[in-house]
Amino acid sequence: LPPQISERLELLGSDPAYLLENYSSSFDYGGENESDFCCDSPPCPQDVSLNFDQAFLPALYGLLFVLGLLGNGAVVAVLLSQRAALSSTDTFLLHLAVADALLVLTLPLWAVDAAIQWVFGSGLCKVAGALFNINFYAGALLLACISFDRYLSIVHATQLYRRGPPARVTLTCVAVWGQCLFFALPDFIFLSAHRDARLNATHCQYNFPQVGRTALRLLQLVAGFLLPLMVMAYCYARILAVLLVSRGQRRLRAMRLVVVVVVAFALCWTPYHLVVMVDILMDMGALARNCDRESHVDVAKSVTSGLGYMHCCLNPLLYAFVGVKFRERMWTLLLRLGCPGQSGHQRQLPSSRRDSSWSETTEASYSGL
Amino acid sequence: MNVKGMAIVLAVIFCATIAQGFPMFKGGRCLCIGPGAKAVKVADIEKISVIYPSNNCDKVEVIITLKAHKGQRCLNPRSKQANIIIKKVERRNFLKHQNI
Repeated sequence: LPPQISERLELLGSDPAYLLENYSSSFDYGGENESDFCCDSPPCPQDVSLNFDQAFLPALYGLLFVLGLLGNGAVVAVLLSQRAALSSTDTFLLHLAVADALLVLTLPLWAVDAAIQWVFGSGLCKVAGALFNINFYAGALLLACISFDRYLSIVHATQLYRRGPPARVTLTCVAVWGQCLFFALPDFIFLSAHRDARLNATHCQYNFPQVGRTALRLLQLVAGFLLPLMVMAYCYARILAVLLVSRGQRRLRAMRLVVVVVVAFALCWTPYHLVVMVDILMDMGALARNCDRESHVDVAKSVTSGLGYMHCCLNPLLYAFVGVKFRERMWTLLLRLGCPGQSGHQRQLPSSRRDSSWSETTEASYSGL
Repeated sequence: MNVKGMAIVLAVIFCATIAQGFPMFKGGRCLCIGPGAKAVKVADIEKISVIYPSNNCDKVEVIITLKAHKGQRCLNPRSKQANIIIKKVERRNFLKHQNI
């Protein structure tokens, strides 16, 4: 019966005995062990991982919300204030910061979801879920774009974006966002506020047929993590090879940055995907189900996914704040905000360097060549 | 070559978006492990819960809460007793909805 699917039906008090009274004699108890009546198979207690999520996730999401909004907001403000002088990498960085800021913007909703339950209805569930995933994938794609851009310019000396019309960068970004919007279609279709009978609460969930879930999650592991990581690793390895044979003062610094970017991505997302892999193995039956193991996996998934989201707050630090000029420009902006009368003075400082880009990474990429 | 590679990466990532494992979208796991008990003494039953398949668990689960704080038991949903319980509970639920 369709209306009863994923429902929980309960009988309480005198009902069960009354209901089964006439039937108890028909049960064939003969030859059964005593264990069939008493000590067999208690259900897994859910409270360990639920209690952990209730305390841990709202605190983590709150922290990431504040850090991510501040860091990415600063990046957006600084880059927008120099819109005319943005290099191609800077433009990608601007879009990356917007994506990260939009992602952390949904975190308060998920904090409430973890602390209580999803109280915002199906409409907001679809929108917030789609926004989260759009920006998650936009972040990954833009990181790939940045590495590809640098790879082309350093290894092949192809100035695909630098010399060409600026429309080309814009076009790439439009394509990335369009792709991510397309990615979000399943979210709009399948996400809804759903009463989960096993968690005894309403949550924002995929209304997804069970069939093929494991296969699709395996695909997420390979495609959402391993392939982007491989693309980044390949591009940056080729860049490193070029930097190694080149001479220049800032060569070491540039190499350090290249390594840090890849390592940060790997460090943030590897633990999560390892945990998901264990989860998949349990789903497939390769690892025996076990109440303790399951609640450990749930707790580990919460912690490691938090580490993954933390990458959103790291991007501004890695890509922008490391740059000397970026910091200068930000202080200028802050001073201008603090004392509006002095803005005339401050504007002179960065304008002398307008021709170069604002991020250390771009600057570093072209140095040493 | 590189454009083709990127296109493949993007296509596979698209397929992957269909399945999300982030904790914020998680559903409850199956509560019962193993086949479950074949029968429970009717006199001990305090509460019966029949839980239907949901997004994250494709099994019907029958959980019996026992009297006198003896805890909960998973009843094998294929057992005779569970079948009778499921039928009764469904019928009762159906009648309740008819009356309202």
